[in-house]
Amino acid sequence: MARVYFEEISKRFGGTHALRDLTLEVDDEEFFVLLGPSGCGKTTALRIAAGLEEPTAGAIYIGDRDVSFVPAKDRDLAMVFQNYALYPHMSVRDNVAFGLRMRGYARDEIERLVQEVTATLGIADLLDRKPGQLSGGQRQRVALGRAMVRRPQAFLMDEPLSNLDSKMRVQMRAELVRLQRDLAATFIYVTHDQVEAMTMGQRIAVLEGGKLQQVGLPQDVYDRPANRFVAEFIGSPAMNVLEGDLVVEGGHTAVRTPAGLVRVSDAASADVREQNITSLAVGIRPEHLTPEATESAAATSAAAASPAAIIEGQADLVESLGSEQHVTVVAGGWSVVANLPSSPRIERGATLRLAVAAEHVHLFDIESGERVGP
Amino acid sequence: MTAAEGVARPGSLVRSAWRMLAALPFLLPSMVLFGAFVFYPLGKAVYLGFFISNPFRTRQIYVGFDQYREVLTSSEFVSSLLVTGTFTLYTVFPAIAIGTFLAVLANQRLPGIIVFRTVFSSTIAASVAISAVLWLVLLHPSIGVLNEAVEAAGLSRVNWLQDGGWAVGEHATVFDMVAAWFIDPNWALISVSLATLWMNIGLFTVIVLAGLQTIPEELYEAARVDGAGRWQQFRHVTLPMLSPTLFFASVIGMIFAFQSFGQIQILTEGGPVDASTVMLYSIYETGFEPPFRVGAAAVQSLALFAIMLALTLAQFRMLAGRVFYR
Amino acid sequence: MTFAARWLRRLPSYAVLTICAALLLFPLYVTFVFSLHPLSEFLGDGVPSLWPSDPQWGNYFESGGGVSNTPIGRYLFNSVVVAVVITAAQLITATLSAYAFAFLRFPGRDVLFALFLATMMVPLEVAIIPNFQTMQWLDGHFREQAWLSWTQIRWIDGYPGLVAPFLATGFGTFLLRQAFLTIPRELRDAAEMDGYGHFRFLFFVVVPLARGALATLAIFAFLQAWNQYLWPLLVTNDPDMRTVQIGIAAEANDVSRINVAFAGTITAFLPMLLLVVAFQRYLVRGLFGGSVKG
Repeated sequence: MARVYFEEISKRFGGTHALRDLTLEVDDEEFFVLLGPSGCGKTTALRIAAGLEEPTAGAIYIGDRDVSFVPAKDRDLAMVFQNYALYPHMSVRDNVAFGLRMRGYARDEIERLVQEVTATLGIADLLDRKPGQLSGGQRQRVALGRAMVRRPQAFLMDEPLSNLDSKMRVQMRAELVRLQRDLAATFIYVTHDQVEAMTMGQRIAVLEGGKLQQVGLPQDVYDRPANRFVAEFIGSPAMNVLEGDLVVEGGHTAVRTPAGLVRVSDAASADVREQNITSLAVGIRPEHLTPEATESAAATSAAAASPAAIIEGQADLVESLGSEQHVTVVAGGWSVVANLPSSPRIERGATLRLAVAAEHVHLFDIESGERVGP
Repeated sequence: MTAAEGVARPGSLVRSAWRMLAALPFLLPSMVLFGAFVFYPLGKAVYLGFFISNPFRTRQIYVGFDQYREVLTSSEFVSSLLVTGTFTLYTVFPAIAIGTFLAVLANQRLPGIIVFRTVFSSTIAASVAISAVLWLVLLHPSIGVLNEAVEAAGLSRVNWLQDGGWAVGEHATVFDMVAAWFIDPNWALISVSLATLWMNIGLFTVIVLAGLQTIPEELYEAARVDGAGRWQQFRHVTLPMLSPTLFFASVIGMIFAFQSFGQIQILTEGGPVDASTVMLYSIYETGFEPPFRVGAAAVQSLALFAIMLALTLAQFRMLAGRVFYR
Repeated sequence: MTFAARWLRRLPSYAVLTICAALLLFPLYVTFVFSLHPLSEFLGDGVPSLWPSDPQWGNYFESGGGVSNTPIGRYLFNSVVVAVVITAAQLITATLSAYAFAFLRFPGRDVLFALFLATMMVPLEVAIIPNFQTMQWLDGHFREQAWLSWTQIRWIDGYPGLVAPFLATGFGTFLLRQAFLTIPRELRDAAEMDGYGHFRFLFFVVVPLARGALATLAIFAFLQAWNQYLWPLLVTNDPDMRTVQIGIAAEANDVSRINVAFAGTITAFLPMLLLVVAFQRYLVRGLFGGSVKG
């Protein structure tokens, strides 16, 4: 197993930049997720690592070896494709053994390895079937088996779960994580699904427009998105973003948004002043909007006593999920989504006063989109 | 751009050349063959058109465009155009109509329908020579049985293979010939057309049957719910859904018509006079029979090429918008 | 509805179907009946009978004067050789070129592909005069030049001349490319990571997956080659090198054994009929050439 290092990789297809200056280090034995919307360059990055695509500029290292000019077959990597890329005319056994045959393994050695891998994956009884006779989950396992059997330096996975139904996807998510742990292998996993990224990745990298937006632990990326794109891309329902100008009122710096004033913390206002920012985007995650505390509760809770903002509006849409309810509140002509406990049940049209604590307010420079403050 | 350009990469020119080299083994066999038997001959035909040769082909005389002008304005050429056009008209559209009729018949859900499907498609297996011989048997002056049927129907016997109708005799102008077209049937050409038509019926039945399979059953169910009868279903569901297939059939039918040769050689040898001399037969006669006017034949073949190309392109342009595509 | 009533209702449909079938098969029937008549039937006045009252199966099988004794066998053999060689060659050349157009990236690919398609617009008939001259030229060289003549290759009155212009196919390239394009590119990527080069991938993956399209091209190429008329007429003079199409036409002119000639025609038709019936579904796909979804 080995680390994989992208050094200032750029890739152009004709006039379009698929990747710009991507530098990224994937640690040995790490489950690393490349996350981004379609067309962000994540698959291109993976294919460049695999050797299926040549970068326009930059270098790729596997371990300490520069493999930029090494053909795909000699990089000792395995790839799992979105549509599994199983050979439809070959049995499961032949599919798994295909790569070994080319590498000149002995016949009984191949059979032993195939048996071993398929037993691990629980598909040993499917060896003589053709891919067409398998369910999506089974095909997925065959594709994994084909990758595992070669004991590669690293596994490259291109949206491997996106063709499964939702129940199977949840199950395979856990299995992949366990598999990665058991193999102690380096995984580079590409997905557009933030839930997969959050649940599986030890670290995640968010890409957009061919550029790296943020790298970090999933929780860090969620808690402190580096810019507005990451903030809005990660989280479901998506973060509420309100734009407004900076004002000073009652000695406090605040942003005047259509939904009301949002107080800026002292730490953030120092940054704002330093950078001469005049207008800001305010981000609030739906779960951080809570019904304003009653007078008696307010007395006992210091944090709730001084919320950064109170948003008051009418409930326009209530989606009950059983465990919680997503309420769309219209305030000052803007829609804000709040994630509230399922009880008390909110009726459509009800007036709500929602509070957010100062530490849950994210601020972004409107011009650059970059995060401002801590 | 970036510091990473410090990493040496093969130039794009080298890479392009390498990729072309990698593709060459795959493409070379076809490229060589196409070069030798398609593109070179095309150029050579243009070149040949500039020369006339004496009967023993010992001497070539450069005449420039004179031969092009002479051949393309000759009455033989105009006649061959008219014969080819008539032949196409006789063979393509009736065959498509009959083929469609048979395909719709054979598309019913009945026990044993597969037998009829096979029978209706069977003439596709007949080669040009075979269908020509079969029709020679039917149309032959002494043993032909078709005339018996004609007589039994109370009509007068037809001199099938030997009556050139409008295409023979003196016509002062092309217009005279066209005028005669309507009143004096060219039975020789009709004979040749019958053999071709019969062969094409199988082909078009097969094509239309395939087209019918692609029409979703729900459309008929929807039409039935709306109260459409059998004819209305055909008119408003089958025909529009079939239009791409019929269009396609007409294109290949025309291409086949322009390439017809064997049946004419076997049945009429282009005669009487030039009554069934289609363009291709004229090319054959001009280039491969004494006095071997190779240059003139080359000019004719270029004209045939131009017409086929123009027709195909025009058909696609004209009909592409109107044909119902899914 | 009762069983009887159901069949009664279907009766008109069957009647129409049967009449159509009878009309369509009539030419075949007549020739078949004539092929069973004794020669005397053709010598008298009037049209021969439409019923084989005295079937002469000897016209087909008799060693003295039947089809088996005519050169039809030789013609059939020539046609089989020509059609098989053309079919095999087209399968190979078209598979290779279609692979390049479907799986390789190289500069000028689209232009080259357009040129390949353009060959479909240039039927052999247009190129027939220069091509015939090429054959004459080649034949002359192979007869006269010592370093070539030992090969005994004949371009006129020889198989090489009969097949040469038809070994590559724009249509086939197009047909196979369409089929190859339906093979997911990821299969190529996966094979590349496993170390399979283009030729191995083509052989182990593409060809098995495109069996249907290859069968379509095969039946189509075979049928076209089998039905050639003009080209074999031009490049063969020797009766021994005639293909069956030229052969049966020539036999049909032999009035002295016209019944055997008809038997020959029927004999030449049967193998094709069986082939076409057996492979009809591939033929349809070939005719559509991927242009209309079938």
